[in-house]
Amino acid sequence: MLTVGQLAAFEAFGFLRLGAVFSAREMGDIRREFDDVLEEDRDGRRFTGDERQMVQSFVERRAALSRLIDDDRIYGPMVQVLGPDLVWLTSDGNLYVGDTDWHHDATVKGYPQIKVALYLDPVGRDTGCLRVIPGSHTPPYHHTLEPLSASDSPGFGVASADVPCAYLESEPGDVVMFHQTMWHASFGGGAGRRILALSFAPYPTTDAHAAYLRSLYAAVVVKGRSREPFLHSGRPRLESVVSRLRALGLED
Amino acid sequence: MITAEQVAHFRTFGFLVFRQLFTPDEVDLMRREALEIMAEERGDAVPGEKWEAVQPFLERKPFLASLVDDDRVHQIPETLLGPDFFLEGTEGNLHMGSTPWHGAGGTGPSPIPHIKVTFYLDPVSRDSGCLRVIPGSHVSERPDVYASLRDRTYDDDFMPFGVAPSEVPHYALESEPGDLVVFTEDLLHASFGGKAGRHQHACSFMAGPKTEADVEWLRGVYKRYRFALHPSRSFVNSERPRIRRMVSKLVELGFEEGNC
Repeated sequence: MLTVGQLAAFEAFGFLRLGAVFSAREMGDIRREFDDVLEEDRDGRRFTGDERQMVQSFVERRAALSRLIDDDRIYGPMVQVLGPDLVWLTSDGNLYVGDTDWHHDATVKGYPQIKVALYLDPVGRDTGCLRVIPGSHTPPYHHTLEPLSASDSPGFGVASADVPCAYLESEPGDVVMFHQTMWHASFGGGAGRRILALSFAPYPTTDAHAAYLRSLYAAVVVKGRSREPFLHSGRPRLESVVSRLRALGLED
Repeated sequence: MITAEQVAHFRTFGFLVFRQLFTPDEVDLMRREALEIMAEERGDAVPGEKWEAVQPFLERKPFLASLVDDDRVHQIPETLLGPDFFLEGTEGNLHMGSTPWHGAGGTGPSPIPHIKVTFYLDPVSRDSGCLRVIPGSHVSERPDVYASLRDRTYDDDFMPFGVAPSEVPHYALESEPGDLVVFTEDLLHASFGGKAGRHQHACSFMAGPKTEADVEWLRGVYKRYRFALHPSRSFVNSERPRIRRMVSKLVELGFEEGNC
């Protein structure tokens, strides 16, 4: 569970890095499943490193990986931040290639979305770690950074890689969580670096948020039999997560 | 020439770094003059035993005094604060140890835009005393999520956000001698890990007051501080018009001269 200080840090800065959450043995297990899912997605072909490979609704495909959703070490902090009736959104598994320029995954609509990321390879400031601009998850600061979206230059007289930021260097086993409205990027990473991400949101309390959630869910969730380990896990907490999705009309 | 993009950088993040504005020979001269000033002020005290801070500073030696009028420096307040900027004061420091987080503490952000132009005459990096900042924290928001960092806290047990002050998320303004670091003191800033006796010298500028309230605020600052807003006699009587101009507002307001 997060301490009072960690919760205050997450509110103020928009992110948190939790060190050594998962053991080396656990990371070995996660890595094996991760590699397996991606290889299956490539039909057994070798990853060439020419471009990023991303598979959505990732952890939902495997019983072992879907356990991450309701693992106390992830679910607990999510409940503290989003409330007891939190909503599971989606997950993605990635083999990243090259730089990811400044962007935010979500717009500021008063409906928070939290990403929980596990970096399966060590990443440092110049080898692909997550870079974030502290406090940029909330307006007005979030909006003053819009020049970062410019395609040719960030608009602040510096190269993208020199935009002032905090570096979330990470070792396998660490957990990085951040508001998806936060401006973030990564530079210098090698081809094929492995990142597993899970996304959560709060239970919608307004019609507008419910509508937004429906459109978001339709966009990011890959439905089909591959999600059976998630939809019918036999795990009480995970089944209550799925029940809430059904109650919201997001799952059958 | 400071570009519009650099101005946007300053307004958004609260700082700018200018790389290698001064040559190695100029840096050596700055260092020599700075050490002369410190030795004169120190008298018989042993150097390196404590933080040495001198105000006013740059005015005391010829090359250092010329810096406020050097185009490479002068353009900075002229662009960021407007042509009617004035000199708030100058300072010289041989630092010891760490400087805790602070910025816009006490009574809150300054109503008058202001900047500090800083010369680090030693290489400084993240863990060796460079300035650390929280970009964008100079802009006042309610509630202020950074309130716990605004005033300097020297308490060894202080754990902002549950971590040691040195672990607070930040951006490190690493610099080499010859660089200039410019920031507004409303920006949350600190430094950690620096070696004893590292040089940090600065001149601070403010934008010209626009309202009576601004003037009253300046009078309040003048009363609170022994050196800030006290124009040096040598600058009041300078042969250089731009130096005379940048202290003329202080003279006009009747602020007493410093003894330098």
